[in-house]
Amino acid sequence: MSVSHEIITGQSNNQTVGKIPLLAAIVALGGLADAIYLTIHHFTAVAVPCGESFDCGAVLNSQYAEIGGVPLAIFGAAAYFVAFSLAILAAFGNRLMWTLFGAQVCLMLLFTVWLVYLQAFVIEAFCQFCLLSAGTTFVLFVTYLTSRFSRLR
Amino acid sequence: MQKQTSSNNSKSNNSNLPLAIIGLVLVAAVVGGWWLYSSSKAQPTTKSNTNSGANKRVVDNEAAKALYNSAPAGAQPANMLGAPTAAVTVEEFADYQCPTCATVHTRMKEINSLYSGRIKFIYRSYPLTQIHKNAYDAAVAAEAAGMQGKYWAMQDQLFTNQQAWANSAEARKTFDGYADKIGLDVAKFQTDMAGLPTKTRVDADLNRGKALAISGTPTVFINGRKLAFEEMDVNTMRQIIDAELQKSGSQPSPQSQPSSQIPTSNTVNQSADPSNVSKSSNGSK
Repeated sequence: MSVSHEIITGQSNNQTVGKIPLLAAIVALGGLADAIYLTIHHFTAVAVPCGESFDCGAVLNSQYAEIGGVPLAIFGAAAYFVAFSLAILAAFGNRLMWTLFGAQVCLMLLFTVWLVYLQAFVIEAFCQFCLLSAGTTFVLFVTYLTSRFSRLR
Repeated sequence: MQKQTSSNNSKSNNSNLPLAIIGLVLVAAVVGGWWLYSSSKAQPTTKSNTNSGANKRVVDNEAAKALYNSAPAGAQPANMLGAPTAAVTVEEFADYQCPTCATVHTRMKEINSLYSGRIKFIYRSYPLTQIHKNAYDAAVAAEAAGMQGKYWAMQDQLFTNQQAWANSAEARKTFDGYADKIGLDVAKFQTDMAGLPTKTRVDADLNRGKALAISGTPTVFINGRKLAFEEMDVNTMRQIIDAELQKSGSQPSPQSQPSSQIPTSNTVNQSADPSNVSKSSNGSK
């Protein structure tokens, strides 16, 4: 039994749920809820409650809010659902899923950086729900990174 | 032997558990999402109203107003409803292929109905061509219908049936069908769609929108004040329009709220009829 397996499964030689992937799964659920909320906003055009320092309308109705006519939030929901699924599978001992989770989260982080850049420098407005999603992705990335560093110790 | 079977069952159950959790979350996400969608759709303005207090945000500064006044005029004569001399001007930039614009379209119809003749409503085409492949053609189709005095009737067709043509490879054929449906001379409609004047008008609106640094659709200005998206519900727009009317000494909105269809070309002020564009020096390059 390798050390890394202990990290992933929490305990060696049994199927105990791994704590780090489980934490990641819970965080991904939060991201999924956020993305579903934004998807619903997109289709119903119901305004989202937006803080004084934000301009959610400018962001959520910008030309960047869709890809090929499909709302970006749907892609976000799909990504969080896949991340959740991979994390759950990893939590039950599937190491390959955790590696895939890491790869996916890295891609999500890159895309998130691009979206934050768009808000900051192109649209020049922020939406708190988009920032929440960005934060969620960042936490997922840190969670994965933590598991990698733990593995090296 | 029994122990081994029990162990196998236990392992099998354990390996099914993550899949069961994933399935459960998927079902919960779909059902919960659908429930939220249904409840949000049923009360589109109630939720917005809660935002109109503390979260109300209007881009309202002198620099923005100065930009609004100095930006290129857009298509002339503009596609306009109401009174040309009204004290309150509502100017909307929208994209016919944008789903949110279709929703806001129904709200604008209500606003126009409520303030019939007491505000000036201007519609500007702002097709987001990077993401909406048929948006520009749709804007041109509306302008082509405008050449025959049926701009608003075509607009209604485009927004109401948006899903039918939004991603169609033969959207133009669909537009021909709408032209026929609203009683246009289809041959002239097709000629106008292919002609330069209609495109010039769309481009003029686009240029105005770009000068106003519009970052998304719909974008609505009321007397030069850019509304935050949260304010684009009927009640909040009424409050803003009423405040502007009061500033100018006019009466605010009536209490009665007749529900009427979008005005047809017959109710459009004659000066707003874009069919004059071919004669307008401002409307062609």
